Amino acid sequence: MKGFEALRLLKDRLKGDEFLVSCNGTISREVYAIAGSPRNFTMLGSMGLATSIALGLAISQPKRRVIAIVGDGNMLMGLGSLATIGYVKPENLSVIVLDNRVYATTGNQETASEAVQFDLLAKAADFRLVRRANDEEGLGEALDDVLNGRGPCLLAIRIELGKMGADLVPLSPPEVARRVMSCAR
Amino acid sequence: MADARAFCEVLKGLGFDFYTGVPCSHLRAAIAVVSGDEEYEYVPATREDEAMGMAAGAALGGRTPAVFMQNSGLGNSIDAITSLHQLYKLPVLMVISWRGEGGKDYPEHVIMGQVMMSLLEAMEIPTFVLSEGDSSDIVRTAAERMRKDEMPVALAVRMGVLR
Repeated sequence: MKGFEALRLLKDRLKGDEFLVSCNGTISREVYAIAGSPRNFTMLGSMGLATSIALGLAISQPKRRVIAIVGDGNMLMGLGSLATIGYVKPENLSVIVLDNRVYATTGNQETASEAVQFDLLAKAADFRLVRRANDEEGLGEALDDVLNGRGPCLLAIRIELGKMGADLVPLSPPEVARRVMSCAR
Repeated sequence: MADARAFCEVLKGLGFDFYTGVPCSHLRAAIAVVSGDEEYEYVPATREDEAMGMAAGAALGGRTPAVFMQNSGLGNSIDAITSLHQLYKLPVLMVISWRGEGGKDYPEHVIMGQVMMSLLEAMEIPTFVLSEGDSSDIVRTAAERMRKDEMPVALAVRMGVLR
């Protein structure tokens, strides 16, 4: 299962009122192509901060589900945010890690994720619900759990290399932000 | 001196309703106010760029954020400022303690203390300096600039001023 295939399964389960914070690189392009909406904050830079942006949004919009979608490289860069999320315990925040063990956007250089079990890290940081999916078979149920469970939730998905060839997000960064802000009113 | 409680009340009065950051001993009185009072919401961050990320998310969600940090944390925040707040036009007030000003501080603060204002200028961050005395006018001016530009604005707090 490739990342975009996991994202399609995610898209099928969205209700439509969730905020999506997708990390910089291939992931934001694929999230926008598959599940893009005015509620999708597509990052371009600030690598490592997707989960922190999602936490700030979740605190500010407590009645809406906020879903951070990050790669293993992004998650590793922002690992400290797991502690902060576990400390704040937003019930409406879910983190989905697409783990392909490489920095795929920049040419598949290895990350350190082989040494890491993100679900166990999140559990150790006092997340209320953590799941791991290694293949498509177990992913549906795991997605149902982390999208509907009391947060903070984290799902680590082991994915294979492979991009769908999604275009760049055709919006200016201020437009992306204002679309999200208008949905938050 | 600028009274820390009065300073925080000015922030609150100006609509700031989300506080985060990493402490500095020169900001401890202000952080004690925002973290110890139910009328404020303060989230302790593990790093200053994480705090900036939370502030960006809060701004997206309709809040008005302020981030407390030592100027060492400005160094940690540069990519967040340029490729998140400035790129997407997200307002935030950075309350930065000006450690090392004039070289009169512990060694680890001296170099950043010398270059901080040049760094802020190079990053095109409007910067206001909080010195001895009533803080309300300078904080109001900084907040107005932040709202007008929809951009990050810095408030450089001189050592020993905020008590």
